[in-house]
Amino acid sequence: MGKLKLLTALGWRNLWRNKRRTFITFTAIGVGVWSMITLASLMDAWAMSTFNASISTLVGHGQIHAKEFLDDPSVDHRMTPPPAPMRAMLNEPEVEAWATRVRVSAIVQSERENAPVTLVGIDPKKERTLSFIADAVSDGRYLDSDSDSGILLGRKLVKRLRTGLNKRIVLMSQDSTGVIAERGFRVVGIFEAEQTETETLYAFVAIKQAQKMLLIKNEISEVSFILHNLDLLPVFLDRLRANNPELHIVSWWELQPFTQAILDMSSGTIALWTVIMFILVAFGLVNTLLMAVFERTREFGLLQALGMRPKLILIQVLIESMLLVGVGVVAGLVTGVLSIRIFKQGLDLGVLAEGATTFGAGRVLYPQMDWPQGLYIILFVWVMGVVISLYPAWRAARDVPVDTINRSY
Amino acid sequence: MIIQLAWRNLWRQPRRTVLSSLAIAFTSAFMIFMPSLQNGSYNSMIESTLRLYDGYAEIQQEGYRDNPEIRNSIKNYTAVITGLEGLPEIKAVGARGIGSAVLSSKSRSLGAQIVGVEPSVEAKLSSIPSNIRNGRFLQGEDSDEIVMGVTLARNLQLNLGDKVTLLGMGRDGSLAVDSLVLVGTFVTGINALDRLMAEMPLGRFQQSFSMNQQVHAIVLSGENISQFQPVLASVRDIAAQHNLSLLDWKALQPGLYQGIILDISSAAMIYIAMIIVVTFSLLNSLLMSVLERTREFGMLLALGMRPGSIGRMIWAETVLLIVFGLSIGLLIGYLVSEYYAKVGIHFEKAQEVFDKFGLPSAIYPEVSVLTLLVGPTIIGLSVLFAGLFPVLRIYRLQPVAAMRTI
Repeated sequence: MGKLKLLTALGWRNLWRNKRRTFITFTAIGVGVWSMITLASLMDAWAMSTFNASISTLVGHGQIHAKEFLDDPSVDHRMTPPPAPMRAMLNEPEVEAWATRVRVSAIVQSERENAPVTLVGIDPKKERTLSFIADAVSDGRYLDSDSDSGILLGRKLVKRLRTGLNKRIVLMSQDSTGVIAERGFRVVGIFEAEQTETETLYAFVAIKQAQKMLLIKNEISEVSFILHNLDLLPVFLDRLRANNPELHIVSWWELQPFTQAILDMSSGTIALWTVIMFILVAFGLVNTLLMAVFERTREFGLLQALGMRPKLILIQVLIESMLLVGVGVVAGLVTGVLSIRIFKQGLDLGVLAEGATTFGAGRVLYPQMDWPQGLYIILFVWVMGVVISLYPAWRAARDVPVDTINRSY
Repeated sequence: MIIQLAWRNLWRQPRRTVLSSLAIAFTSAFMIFMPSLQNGSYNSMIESTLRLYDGYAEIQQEGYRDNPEIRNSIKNYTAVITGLEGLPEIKAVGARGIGSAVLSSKSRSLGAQIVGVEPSVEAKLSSIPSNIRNGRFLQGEDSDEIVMGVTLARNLQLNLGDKVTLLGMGRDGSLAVDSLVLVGTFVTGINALDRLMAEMPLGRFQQSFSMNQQVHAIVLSGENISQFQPVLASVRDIAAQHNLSLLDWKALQPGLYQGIILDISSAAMIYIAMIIVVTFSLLNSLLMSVLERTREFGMLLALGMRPGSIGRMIWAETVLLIVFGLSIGLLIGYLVSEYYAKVGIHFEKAQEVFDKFGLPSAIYPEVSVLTLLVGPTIIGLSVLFAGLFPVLRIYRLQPVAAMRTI
């Protein structure tokens, strides 16, 4: 143990015998690690933004439907409101929010134009924590009760229909008897969504108004819910499925496979990038360490002649590389964390935002330091860095004392 | 002679030279392969997105894009088409009318977007005619046929041969009513199209919607998107003569365009980080190879070699190292890219998901002079710049002191 302490002290001093070289190596390792950490956090922010956007666009963490609803989302495939046992499950503390909805295809007609939409009847109070709608209303107001007689339309749809706030529009949809029901609504609010498609796809009314229009009493099309902790979702879904075999219970990844693909792709990219960057750093590292060893061949020879065991020389070189890589890695980590902190308030994609929303992410990314991942990256670089320095260390320990002391340049 | 000396000097340390040039080779190969891959995937994304429905470019009435109203139509479209057909790069030109209506079957009624197309040219403009799942595409310019997205047909509970009633608003505000027969259903993988779109012959569309021989869009198509770009200028002139506006692919799919720019910017960040890392790694080796030869340089100076010549020799070493590394990198990068350009990179696991968004599930890298040379050039220049530092050291050497160093 005492030996190790001595070797560490020696190694540290050896590092600073050649300040410039040490600094250059630090920089190479540091920039490498910095790019790994920053990129990882940006990729994660992108994936999270995609995930959140899709969860809050009516998907939730999971949904409950009548069996045939997803295949054929018509008014015929409706379900009764959650019975007491299901209600009890949904009111458990692990559930953050849940709400019932009515969802049918409809046609919205203004005085001059008409357009197909998905009509969603919502419970305004419960929907507030569940989905984007309440925060997205930019003109007018949100629905104030579950029997509000107003309608919320997307900015783009309002423009397309050439209607406006406080104007009347007519909704047409097939009711439960198969007849086309028509009903007038006043536009009380206009919402703006990150995905412009959302603005033309949906129209929101109070759930009771939708039920009245479709003649379905208190029946609903779906229940959507989110949990506090996503890790609990599989168990929760299993319990729901076991207790409600007659209903179709789906998770967010079944509803949004593209979002799942993005999450997978982003972790794949992070791993790939870490390896590629490491290979680059490794070339420089091996070269530097080899040089640091060769220029000290005489010194190692002398140390051996004085009785230092080759094994200790090997260990000393390894310790030097541990310190060298260690400091570089920590420097990369620190700069990485700092540059992530710059964007704590959000990285606004500005003019390219529409590009981001096309691929399902938001306009603003919120990069966050993922400590387990960051530590995993620096540990990987550090351990691998020490592993590849085995070669120079072995070279240093191999030389025969007399030969090396006599060697001149 | 300097070059010869430099070359021999390089191989005095074969291990170091090999490692350094491998670092250069690896980086440049990566920076050849990745841009070709990006290039290929962008092109195929653009291609498959535009082929789906939009076409390579569209001519519309000024303002129709923001305000797609049925009133915003093109009057003398046949004159425009005749003008366009003279351009050799344009493979196909077709007109479309676009409206919305309620489609009803016996049991169901749903809103849909109705597109009037010219059945004979539509196959060259969009991939919908080739994506027919059941039945066939439209035939005849004014038959009473309709094709629709497979989800729409299912939601309407329609089978092939069933009657569909169309109810909408015509161009003059009158009622548009028609009775059509479902002859086919298509699958594009895009939910919005499969769920909301139906196509009928343009002639019939113009009658039903009281279009008075007018259309909403003139759609153009060519051999491929890059060959199509040069012709846009003359198309724009023709459109301007008729007071119409031309939308190129960037205007038709602004999200896709910006997504690509975003991807390029994030890739640029990666490349810059790579170049910094590789330059710093090499800077160390370059400096070292000078420092360890201080004695030798001192002697050369003492023998009367000018610092300038030594500097040039060291510079030449760097240049040779770069050339050596880059050649290997170019070769590997080129071969790997070309190999995958032939075989393609397949994502079998994600195929279903890619299909859903109309993206191709195999990517073919596209090698061009640009993708081959930009990356390696930047790497070469950065390392060349780093090579200045060891050269500068030579000028600070004092012959006697230098010879005494170990």
